[in-house]
Amino acid sequence: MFFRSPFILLLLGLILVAPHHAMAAEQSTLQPFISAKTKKTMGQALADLNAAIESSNYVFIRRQDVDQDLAESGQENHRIVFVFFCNFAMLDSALKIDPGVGVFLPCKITLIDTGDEIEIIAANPALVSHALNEPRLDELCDKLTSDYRNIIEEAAQ
Amino acid sequence: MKAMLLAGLLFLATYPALAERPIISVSKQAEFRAAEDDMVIAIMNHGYKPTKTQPIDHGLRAKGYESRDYHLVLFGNLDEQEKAIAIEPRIAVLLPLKIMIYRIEGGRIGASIPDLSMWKQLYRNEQLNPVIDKWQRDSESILKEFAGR
Repeated sequence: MFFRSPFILLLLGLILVAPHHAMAAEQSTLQPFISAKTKKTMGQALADLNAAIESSNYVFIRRQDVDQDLAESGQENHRIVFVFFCNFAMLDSALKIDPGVGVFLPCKITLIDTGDEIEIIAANPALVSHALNEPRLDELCDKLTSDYRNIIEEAAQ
Repeated sequence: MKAMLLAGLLFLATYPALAERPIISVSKQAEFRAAEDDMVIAIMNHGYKPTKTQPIDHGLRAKGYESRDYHLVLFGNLDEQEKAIAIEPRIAVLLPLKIMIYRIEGGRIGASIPDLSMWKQLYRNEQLNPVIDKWQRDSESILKEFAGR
C-alpha cells in the first residue's frame, strides 16, 4: 500500500539518487587534467620536474618512455616520458582508507613533446576521490591535486 | 500523476549505475606468487606484453610501513598504443595499462583494474572511444581468465 503512492515513490527516488547526481555534476565540473606548457627542452623539463617533486616532499621513483619495454631497445619514443614518484606516508594513508585506490597508483606526471613545446600533464587526483565516492579520501586527493599543480607549475617555469 | 510516477521510477532505475565504483575486482584462492604468474599469462594470452611489476608493498615496508602484499602489473600493446597516441597524445596519461594484485583476508588474492570508461567523457574525442572500450573489455577479460571464469 505504502509503495502504491506515486508521491512516495518519487520522493524515494529523489532521496536515493540526488547525492549521486550531485556527485556526477561535481565530477563533471572538475578539470580532468592538471597541465602546463613550457618552451624548455625535454631534458631541462625533466630535470626541473625531478627537482620540483623532491622539493614537494615526494620521492622520485623512476622515469620511462611511453613505450619502454614495448618497443625494440633503441627505438623508444622519447617524445612522451612518464615520471613516477611517491610520498609513502600518503600512500599508506590512502591504502588504509580504501585498498582499491591502488589501481590509480602510482603518482605519475607525463611530459609530452608537442614539437614546439613540452606539455607537463597529469590526471587530476581529485577525480579519484569523487569517482570512488569515498569522503575520507577527499582531503588526501585534494592535497595531491594541490601538490601536482605546484609541481607542474614549478617545473614549467 | 503518471508522469511523476514514471519520473520516480526512472530515478530509481538509474540509481545502481550511478552508485557503481570505478574499480572492477575479482579474487581467487591462490599463493601470491602463483597468482602473479597467472596474471602475467592472462595478459599475454590477450595480446598484451607485461612490461613491469611494481612491488608497492616493498616500497612501503622499506619505509617502515606495514603492508599487505600489493603489486602493480603494468602492460601494453605497442601497436594499439601508438595508434591511440597518434589520435590524441594526451591518452598517454592513461598509460601504461595496469592491474593491481593484492592479498585479501582469508588467503585469497584480489585483482583490480580501474574502469577506464569514465575517461571517454573526459577526453571527449570520439575517435578514442573504440580504443578505450577495447582496453576496458580486454582488461576485464584478463581479470576473468585470472579468476578462472
